[in-house]
Amino acid sequence: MQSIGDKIVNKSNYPLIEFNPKLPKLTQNQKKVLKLLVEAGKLIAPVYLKQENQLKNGVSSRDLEKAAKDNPEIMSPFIMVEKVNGQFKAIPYHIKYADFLKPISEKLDEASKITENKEFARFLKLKAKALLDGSYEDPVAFWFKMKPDILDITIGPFEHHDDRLFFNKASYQCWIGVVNAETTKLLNYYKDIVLSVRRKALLPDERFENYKEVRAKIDDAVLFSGHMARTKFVGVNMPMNLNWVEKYGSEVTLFNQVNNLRLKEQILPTFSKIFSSEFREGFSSKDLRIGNISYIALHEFAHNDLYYKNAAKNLQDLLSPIYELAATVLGFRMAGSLLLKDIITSKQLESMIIAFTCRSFYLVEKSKQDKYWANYAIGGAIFINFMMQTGAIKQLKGLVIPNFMKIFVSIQDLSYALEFLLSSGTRKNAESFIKKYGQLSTLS
Amino acid sequence: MTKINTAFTRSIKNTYLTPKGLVEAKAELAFLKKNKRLEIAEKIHQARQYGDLTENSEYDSAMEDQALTENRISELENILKNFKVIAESQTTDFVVIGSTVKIDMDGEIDEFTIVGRVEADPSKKRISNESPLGIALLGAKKGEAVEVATPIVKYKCKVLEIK
Repeated sequence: MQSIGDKIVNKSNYPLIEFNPKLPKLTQNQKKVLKLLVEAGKLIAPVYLKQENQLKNGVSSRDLEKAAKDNPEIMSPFIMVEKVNGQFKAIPYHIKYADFLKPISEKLDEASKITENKEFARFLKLKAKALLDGSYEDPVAFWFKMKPDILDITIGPFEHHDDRLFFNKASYQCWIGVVNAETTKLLNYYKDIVLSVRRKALLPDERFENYKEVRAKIDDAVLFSGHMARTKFVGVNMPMNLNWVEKYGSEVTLFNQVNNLRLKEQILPTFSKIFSSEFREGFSSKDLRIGNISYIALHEFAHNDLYYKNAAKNLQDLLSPIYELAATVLGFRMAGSLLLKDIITSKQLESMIIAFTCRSFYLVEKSKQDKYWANYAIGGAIFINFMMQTGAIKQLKGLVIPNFMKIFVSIQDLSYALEFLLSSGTRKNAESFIKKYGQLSTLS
Repeated sequence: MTKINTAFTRSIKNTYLTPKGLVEAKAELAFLKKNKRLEIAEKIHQARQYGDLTENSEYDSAMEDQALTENRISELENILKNFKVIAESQTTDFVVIGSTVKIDMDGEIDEFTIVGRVEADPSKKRISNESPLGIALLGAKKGEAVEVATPIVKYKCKVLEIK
């Protein structure tokens, strides 16, 4: 067991993290519901582990494309594809993992029966049902209609990052949190400013604009399970399915405790390692903590300006690093605009850039030890290499020397290049770009 | 009541206020002096009843509230000593304080009103005349492109409309 920061408990390689944050006062009923949700959330970890093993089943992207011609359902995010005696077998997740999912569904059902919030009860009931029959869209649709509860849960197959073939298959995960009213208010203040601006698309016909509804909240995280425990994302923008975003809207969620965890495990150690002591004196750990969560918030908001309809089809397995980095650099451009309007300070913008630079170097190093992180590290490698080639970042005697003015100019160039790939690039274009800038081996 | 932003007012000689902003600043000052002071005095009095002041969180909170309120009163008094009222009717030939402008900056199409620093509230589309963007836009004509810069960020900004 590992215990750090806010009394976070995490068995070393098991995809489950329990946080013990200081929570606002909950009613007895809310406490009972939360307990049941946590019990349900913990049961997601074994499903994810089983699924993780089955994603490494030796099915190639060519195999899948070929099989999808006869059975398009094979490409569904919620269908596991297996090769049995040379034949492809497509099994919906809810059938494949039914034995694991039944007790989770029962816990959610039980929680739905005792919660005093009728809308939340309905949502939990729909979630419980979706796990067993694959009706995943129903709870998403209802979520955007209901008034948010203080208790927050996302449970089921969602994030596509583990699918290295088409960035398509959803991984099982769960997060449970309690909405932090104070920081959520602040996040929504920035959200309203950033999203009140219309940003031109490189190819307007290729992009759909999600201005229908963008919700934003900051949770005090209670539990991460499955994919989320593996990746420890500080922020997420859900749903990932663009059709659902178009129909219902999207929601950005940030996690206070996970931000603290990333600061402690990744940002601060890398900051000490790659910057000189003179440079480090200019930034406190508080600057970096706020810088980290701020750039992630802007990254998540920036996704709303990058919904290019054919990007997934065109870029396939290379979509993830391009799409994620595009959102980060667009987020920095948004921060530039906030600076010019006196909404943030230069120091805050610099802190965001430093936090992301540290994260990039960290992921590059991590991916050298563990291949799981290679795909996540590509974006960081592109960022660092691009900045080095333009002279915006220099390395001297193992230390990084940033020139923020040059970084910002380079960010604009990088942002246009990435948006071009998302709007009209081919997989081959993305591959060349990654070959040019995304090489992990060139970084030390 | 809209709260007027006074975070930066101490270094300003003249503060620009719209007629509405002036009314709000006066109203807020009157409220703080007549109502808020009394309310805080009552809180302090009640907190004292709880005894030991060294470990009395109600007392600490009331004292903190008092300090913030007195600070705010002082800031508002300073603003109201050195202000200039922005005329309601403005030219649309070029950008002045009080103009509502539509701009294209780095692909962002945005529309906001340029106001004095103390009334700036970006969430309500009111940008300070002393922000880098406000400074660059003042005096610009429709169709003109101006450069907006800070030591680390530089954008071209085109004025699409002045209202």
